[in-house]
Amino acid sequence: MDTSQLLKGVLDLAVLAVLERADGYGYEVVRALRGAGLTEVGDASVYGTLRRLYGAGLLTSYVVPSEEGPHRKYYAINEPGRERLRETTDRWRAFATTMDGLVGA
Amino acid sequence: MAETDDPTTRIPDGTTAAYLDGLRSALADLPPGEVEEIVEDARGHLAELAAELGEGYDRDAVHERLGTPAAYAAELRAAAGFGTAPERSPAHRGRWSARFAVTALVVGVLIAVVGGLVVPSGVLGLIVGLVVALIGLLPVLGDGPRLPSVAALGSVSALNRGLRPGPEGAGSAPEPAGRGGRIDVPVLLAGLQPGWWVLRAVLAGGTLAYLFAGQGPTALVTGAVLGLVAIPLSFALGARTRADRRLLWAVVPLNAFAAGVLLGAVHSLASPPWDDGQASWVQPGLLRDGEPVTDVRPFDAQGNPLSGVYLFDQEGRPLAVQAVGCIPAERPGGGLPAEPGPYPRGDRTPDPDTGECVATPPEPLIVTIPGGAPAPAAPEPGPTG
Repeated sequence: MDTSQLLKGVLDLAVLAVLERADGYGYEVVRALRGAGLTEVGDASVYGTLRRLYGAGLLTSYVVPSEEGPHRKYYAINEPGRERLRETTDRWRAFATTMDGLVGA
Repeated sequence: MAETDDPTTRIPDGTTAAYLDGLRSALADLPPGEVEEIVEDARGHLAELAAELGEGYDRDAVHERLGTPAAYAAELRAAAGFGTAPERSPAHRGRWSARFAVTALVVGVLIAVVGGLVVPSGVLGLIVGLVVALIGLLPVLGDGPRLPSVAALGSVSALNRGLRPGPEGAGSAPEPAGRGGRIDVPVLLAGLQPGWWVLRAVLAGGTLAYLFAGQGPTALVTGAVLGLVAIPLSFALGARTRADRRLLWAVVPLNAFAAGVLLGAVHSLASPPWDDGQASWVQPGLLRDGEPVTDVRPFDAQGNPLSGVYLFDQEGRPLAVQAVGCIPAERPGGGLPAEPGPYPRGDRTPDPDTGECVATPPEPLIVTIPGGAPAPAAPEPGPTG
């Protein structure tokens, strides 16, 4: 199993965590994830995840005009999003601990 | 669509347009609003990529980073929770109406292009062509702007694959290995498209001016003004048509008409006006200064009339005059049959009683033999034929 398979389950968490630090537009989130070391994350996966999280009411969005090129659609985490982030973080920690114990890290 | 409400001007960019088109068709089963939002997001995405890659931003670079439009769509669907694209089978139910729509479009285009060739009366052809095409569109009008049932037709999807840069389709086929330095015809065509949008606007302005103001300098100015007004409209129409393929049923006959007008204009510029309409018709028979020769009166060097003479050209073909007067009974079929001799033929007139052709010897003729003395011509015996 390569990293991209693992990523599928935790991309929501990763994206929420990035937006928790600062608002960002799609490509900014892609870059932040890559910069954090998730080099295998697909651009379209990030854009799709943002759409789904926004559709689920966990993000708000606003448009910022850009000098060159089209407007940038920024996403910001809202209260339900933070709530989800906390829950998912807790679950991730528990899961990671379990896995660490299992693989003997 | 965003082209119209976005205040920033964008340089038309074939790579982005082609990619977004591919994305649209791979998402065609989603609600149109959803598709447009995703496409707008992807437009921003590509703009970021273009800024990052600079000069290196082209089809191959985009496919390298994002995958084919089909792959991008599949990845986005999975992440956004839309589920995978349905197989194209639901379109099957609309197959006949789709075929009808395409056939009507083709027929409408043919009528419109002929109409464009024979402006001004051909405007009727444009109207008929548009009506035919639009009638064909009616059964598939409710299919939504991407017309999935039409796109699923074998011939149409083959055409789409041929015209679109990059492999597309419902599946996320792996992209082929690099295309090397080969000229990418679809990309080339996409690049030429804005030029065509300008040209068709100018043609539309010119045609309208010609219809309403004739050919004088007023018409020239009117045509120029109308053409300039039509250019932004033509671009807006082009952009809208990319989003709503149903518009093709109006736009393609109009385009065909414009192409017909262009061909007609090129033809009339290329051929001088005086032989317009005459060029294809050659007067049969013997001519002297353009006038038909109806008989030949041969004389010898002494000025004596000859009879029973046959004449041939340099290749041995008989020189035949036009048979005038009446048509011999043994040669029905109308027209003016050619008479190869013998000369002189004399006059032929229908007999007032029987209606049959009666040959009479020609009137005496006084001729001047070049270099000889004038000689009175005796009446000649009538031709035997």
